[in-house]
Amino acid sequence: MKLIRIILLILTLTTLGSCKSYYFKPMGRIFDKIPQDGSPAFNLGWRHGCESGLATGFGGTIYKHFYKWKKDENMLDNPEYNRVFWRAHIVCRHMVLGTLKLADMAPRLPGEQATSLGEHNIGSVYNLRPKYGDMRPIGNW
Amino acid sequence: MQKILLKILILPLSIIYITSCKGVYRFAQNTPFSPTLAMAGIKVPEGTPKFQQGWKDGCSTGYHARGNGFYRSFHKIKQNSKLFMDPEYEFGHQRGYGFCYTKALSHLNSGTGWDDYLFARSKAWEAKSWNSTPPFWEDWNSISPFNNPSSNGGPLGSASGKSSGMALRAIAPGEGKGVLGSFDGSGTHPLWAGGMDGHFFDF
Repeated sequence: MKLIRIILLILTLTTLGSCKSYYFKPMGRIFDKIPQDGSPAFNLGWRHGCESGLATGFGGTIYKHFYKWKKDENMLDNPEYNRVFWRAHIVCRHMVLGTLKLADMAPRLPGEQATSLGEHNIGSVYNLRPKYGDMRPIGNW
Repeated sequence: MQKILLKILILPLSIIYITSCKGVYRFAQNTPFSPTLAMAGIKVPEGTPKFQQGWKDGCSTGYHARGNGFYRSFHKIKQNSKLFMDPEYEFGHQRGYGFCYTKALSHLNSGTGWDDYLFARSKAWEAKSWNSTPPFWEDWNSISPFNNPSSNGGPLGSASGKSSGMALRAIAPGEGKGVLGSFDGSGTHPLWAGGMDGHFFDF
């Protein structure tokens, strides 16, 4: 009976935690960190730009599965939206590259051997000996 | 025994809580003993208040974008929602972002400052000295997957299409444009010389 209560508590907490729309997506927490204190065009530009940046080839197949190019064609005439969109795109694109490089899971460059199955796995993001000396688990993945 | 253990725990916990205070962090940011360490010694370039504000926000964003978890815990993504359309602020933001982006790289990539996703090096490049000029048969621009010779020579290149492979060599005067912008040997400030040209992080 006690075990059932614990299980129910865990399920409840995880369900409540998933109320955020980006909870189950990799690097979803970045959307809590981007500026969202501006006009609707500013906020939307950041959100769409960041999603588009995460959907680039720098994110690899995994990120492209969760994120897609997103630009509102109805806002193309809005200079605020356009300017913020590209800034967000660049920032998030660089973030995903940096995060994946930390876990040594960055996409292959032209000329390099293609990724082999089993080389990267879910445990890679918790690698305690990453390439660039960050000894903590890569929580941003 | 319990009192001794309690005393042992109180001191480190107190230090942790005190250093988490914003007031202490802001003070430390302006001293050589900044917790970021990487920020120590970085001087915001001279300019208008809007430019400097943009530079700081851009620098913080650049560190957050390209730094590891340690950098990201200290530096946040910042863009002033009221000033972002201001040309001075935006210019400062671009410059600060580019500067601190490469600064983070220099700390992370074993001090080399190099990133194969910016520019793929050839073996000939590695064999050459830092300031050497490639022979005419060796086109460094064609190696990187991110160069587009038909337009601007890639993200690190100038509008003229030249010096794509020399972006990180722009420290030397008179050697064209790159990450730090173009500047000549007459002492132009390296961080914003060249106006809006040569910036890295724009389409």
